[in-house]
Amino acid sequence: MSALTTTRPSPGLLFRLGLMRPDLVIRSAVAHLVLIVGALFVLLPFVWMLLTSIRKPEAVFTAGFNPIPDEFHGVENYGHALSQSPLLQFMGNGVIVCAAILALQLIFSLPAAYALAKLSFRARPLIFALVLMGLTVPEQVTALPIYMGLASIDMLDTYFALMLPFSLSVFAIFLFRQFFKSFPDEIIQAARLDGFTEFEILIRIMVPSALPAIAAFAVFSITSHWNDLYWPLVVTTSPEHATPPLGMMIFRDQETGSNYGALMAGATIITAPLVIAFLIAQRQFVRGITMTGVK
Amino acid sequence: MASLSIDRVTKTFGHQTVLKDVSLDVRDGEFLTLVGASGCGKSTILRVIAGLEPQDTGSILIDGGRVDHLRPKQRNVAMVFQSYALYPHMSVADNIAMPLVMQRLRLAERLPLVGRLSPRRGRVMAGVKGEVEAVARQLQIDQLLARRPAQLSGGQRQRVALGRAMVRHPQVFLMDEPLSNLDAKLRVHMRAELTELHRRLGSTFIYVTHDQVEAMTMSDRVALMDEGRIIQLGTPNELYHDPLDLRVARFIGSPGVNVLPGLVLASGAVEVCGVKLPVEVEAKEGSIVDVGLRPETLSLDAHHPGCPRLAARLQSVENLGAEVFLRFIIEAGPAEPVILRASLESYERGRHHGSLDGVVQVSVDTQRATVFDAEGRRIARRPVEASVVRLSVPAE
Repeated sequence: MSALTTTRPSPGLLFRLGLMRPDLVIRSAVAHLVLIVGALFVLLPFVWMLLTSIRKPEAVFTAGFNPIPDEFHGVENYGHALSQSPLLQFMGNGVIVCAAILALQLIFSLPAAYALAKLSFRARPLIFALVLMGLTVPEQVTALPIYMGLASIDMLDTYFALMLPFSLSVFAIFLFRQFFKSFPDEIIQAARLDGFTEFEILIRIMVPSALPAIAAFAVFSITSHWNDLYWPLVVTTSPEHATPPLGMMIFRDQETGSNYGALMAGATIITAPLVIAFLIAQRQFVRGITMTGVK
Repeated sequence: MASLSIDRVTKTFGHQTVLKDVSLDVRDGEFLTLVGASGCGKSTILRVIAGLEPQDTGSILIDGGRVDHLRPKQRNVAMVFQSYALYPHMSVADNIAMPLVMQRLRLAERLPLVGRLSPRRGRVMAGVKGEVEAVARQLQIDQLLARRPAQLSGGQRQRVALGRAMVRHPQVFLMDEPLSNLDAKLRVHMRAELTELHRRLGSTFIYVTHDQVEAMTMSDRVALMDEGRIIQLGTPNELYHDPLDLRVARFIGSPGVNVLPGLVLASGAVEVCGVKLPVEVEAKEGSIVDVGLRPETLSLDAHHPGCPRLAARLQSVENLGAEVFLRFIIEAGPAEPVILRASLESYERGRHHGSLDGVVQVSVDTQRATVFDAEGRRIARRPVEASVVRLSVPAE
């Protein structure tokens, strides 16, 4: 029997010898073509943003589709963007707001998700139903009441106002609840026997196992709140608390007028941290996936 | 070390009653096995003892004292789970150390950063480290202390789970099918090792399995469960040779017991497949019974005078080397075959003489036959009469 298995070539060997079936080659080629076209659609605006950010103002609207600028005007554009607007302050605001929102979301949603997934109590079905219903409520519906509430306690145009509506995320509760649900009960029971408190089970066992899910959620949360224009526009009026997109808007209106080169340079600067953060988180995803070996 | 009592425990999940008024006394230092098919409630008993599932009624007593109000960690019991339930992101050393860390450090000292400020912490952790290493050496996993569970084989994870249970010196060990995820060879090996561990520690073990071989080979006593009740509690020998219920007879033993339908005659003998078996049961004439015959109560050697014989045809042969299992279809009997255990010599002799071809006379050792009524309860037998010849040892 062992002789039989050793003489049979493995599929990997066939693949290496280039003996892949022709229909599979075609299918793979078509798939790659579709992916390449999709990637171009997504990436081209960014490429255009980068190219515009190093062009002379006159060259921005020249006719023709010349991808490579004749003259490098990047230093002036980036210098202008950084000097004429408090861009770093906007980004600082963005970091403060996004970090605080993410921290609050995790602090509230992880215990809630653990309770909904692994503890049994009477109101659990009702509370979970409320969470699901919360998922269906759009942000804009609650905007006005929250705005009026903030106005009545005189908290408009503060960091607090920027964070408040997002500090409790039903999406996070739902996501982590689904993740915790698949965690083996026996490990939790073993922890109870070992003397863990419920809170320690959450912090020392559930959270480390949920790192991939937390990283994924962090990407969602940070991108959406870094890029959010709607809510900052509603509650913020001064540049001191403006987040990057709102800052860009103020910057465009007041300072640059139609200096698109500088505007694109500013856009590039505020997009960069997100891209970098995402690359770091992506590495964490992979590590998280290879680390799981619960069985 | 402790004795443990389960006193009239009932447990219901939704509409399903999983434990029906179960009582059980486990002696100090005993290895007691709960065995039964899946869904019979045996694992639920362990969880109730551990305090992981509260019972509906009844109590659990450890060393005579009620523990119903105590949390799992306060009951001083350790559990080994079927899936091992190791903490996936912790090293082997941390996994084993956890029960001690949780016991000996106060809540504030266990906090991630603040805990390090306590001057006591370092001393406690050093003591824990020493004990973890000692346990790991006992289980021969001291080379693996830095690894994570995912990097271990099934057998190694099993040992880590045992280590985590041993390190706190619990009063009672609870084991929930700890060997069922291991491959067959390792399971046999770990069986012996667990028995040895029990002997060395001298602690009370309550062991749950669906595998009757594990129950028979490891236990001091076995409790056989079915549908939320303990049907019979006894030594492995008692369960095998003296089953009080047909379910026990069927569950224990491999290959299983042969069950033949019978009719009680006026004399107390039972007619099976047209043959009169002198079993002398205390049952009404004309009642229908089941007769249990272990494979070793049937024999090829037919030269015992007066022993009842069943005419049968050989269906198949299973040769295990030292012994041979032969399947026969009884001529006047049911369609499914009966299994006969023969020594290799006896089988070879029969084959040599050609006496296995055609109709074979299978002798029955009625001394060791067990008789059950229509509800599956064992029927007592009258004192043995001198005229019945004992045929259990075939003459060579």
